[in-house]
Amino acid sequence: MPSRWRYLFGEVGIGLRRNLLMTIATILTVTVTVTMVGASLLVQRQVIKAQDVLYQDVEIAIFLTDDISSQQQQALEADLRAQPVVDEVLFESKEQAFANAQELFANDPTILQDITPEALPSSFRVILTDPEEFGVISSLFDGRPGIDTIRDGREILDDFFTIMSKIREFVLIVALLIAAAAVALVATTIRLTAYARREQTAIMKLVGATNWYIRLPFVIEGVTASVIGAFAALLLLLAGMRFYVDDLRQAIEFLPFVDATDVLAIFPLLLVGSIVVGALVSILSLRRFLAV
Amino acid sequence: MILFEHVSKTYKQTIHALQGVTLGIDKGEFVFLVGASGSGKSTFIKLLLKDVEPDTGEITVAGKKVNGMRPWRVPAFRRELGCVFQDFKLLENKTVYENVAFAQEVTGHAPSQIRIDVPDALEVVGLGHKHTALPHELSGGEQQRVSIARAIVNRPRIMLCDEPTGNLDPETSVGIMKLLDQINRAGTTILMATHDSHIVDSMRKRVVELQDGHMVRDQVRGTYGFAG
Repeated sequence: MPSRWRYLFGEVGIGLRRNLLMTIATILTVTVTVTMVGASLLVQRQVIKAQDVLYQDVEIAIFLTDDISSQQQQALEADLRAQPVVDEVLFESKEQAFANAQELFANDPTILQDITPEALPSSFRVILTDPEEFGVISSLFDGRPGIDTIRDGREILDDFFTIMSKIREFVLIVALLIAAAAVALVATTIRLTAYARREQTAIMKLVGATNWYIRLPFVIEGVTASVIGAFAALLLLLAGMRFYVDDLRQAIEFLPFVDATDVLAIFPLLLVGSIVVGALVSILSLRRFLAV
Repeated sequence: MILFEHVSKTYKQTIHALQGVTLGIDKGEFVFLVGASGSGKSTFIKLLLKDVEPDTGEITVAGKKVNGMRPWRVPAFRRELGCVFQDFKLLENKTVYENVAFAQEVTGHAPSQIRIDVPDALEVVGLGHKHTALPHELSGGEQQRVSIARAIVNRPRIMLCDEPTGNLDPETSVGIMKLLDQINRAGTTILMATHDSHIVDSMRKRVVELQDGHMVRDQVRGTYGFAG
């Protein structure tokens, strides 16, 4: 190995060993930070996955008024079918609605007592090519004679997605707080090493070593801690998949869940992110120390 | 080789470390820089190393303008200078050999080059037999020889010595001065700041005296005091 590399890695090893406890604390906080950021990315992926499946069967319900004429109703159906965003249009009569209600509330006779076919509105059930296009239909047809209300089928999923985004927000905030601690710890570790090595650095400057050469062992030290932390986080995330998400997957069969492939898919981003942050923190925490 | 033109340096707007100093040192000269503490000797050395910037004036070293030099050029510039200090500045956990090799390793010399240059330099300073000793196992004079070996290993054109004998007894100092004289005779320009009147008087080299930041004397074959 050329002497300059031997020097470099020798220094990194000495630096990391010298403050063993600091180094462990640094790596642990980096691990937790990366794990939290990773978890928040996974929640986001989970939302997208769930959305794809859950929205597939989502339909718009256009409830009709009781006084709609058959002419109005035919014109409405034709207009709906003419929309490019519309995939399918089904008519649900009062009787069908009643039959559906009886099925839905089969276990709840008290509700069924109050329901008669006459009390339920007839409706068009519209399936869109993309559930996100609800606004197009709503703006075109809302207020048209014969239409009572238009209901977006996605509404029933709103609660689910609100919870998911709250979880994601929470995880992200915690991740940011821990990230601040991680940055402070990396900076402190680097400065301690720099202080322990100040004589050596002074001599290096004196004999004409370039600033980058002086800086490199410190930067590698910061980056090494980041890389170890990132890989530890990878293991934690995979373990999380194995011990928590797999249980969910078995409990809730109709919903797709994120899995190990998703963890591996986000890992390069996490790794590069922690390397960049680790290097930047190392360089910045040395700035005053290295002024020529 | 070294040229100061009307150089002034003031610290904190009130301490006038150097005032309008003009001085030229030719290639191959040996010059003593004398003066009481606070006379500006250290500032003079720091300016040469581009450790500090002058307020006014021009400094040229080895053909390069030092004031206003861009930071990224400074490392290459410093490789042309060898420095020796009163406190040796050796790395305690490295052997004699490693201390000298350090100056070459960190400036990107090839290992094959280092294996030739380091034993050569140690031979010149008379420590060819102490490669594996640690600094604390050496006498003060030997430690200073290691630091001189480190200063010359990259074959600088100029050596700056700041009180190199300040921590040494008179007998050891004589040995160090003989070594510096030998290095000077081989063609290296040497500027040495010192308090040691015996050494200055016995060497009879050019003497430049600073007093409160002014150059008050520049004497060929001079002595420490005015007596000579």
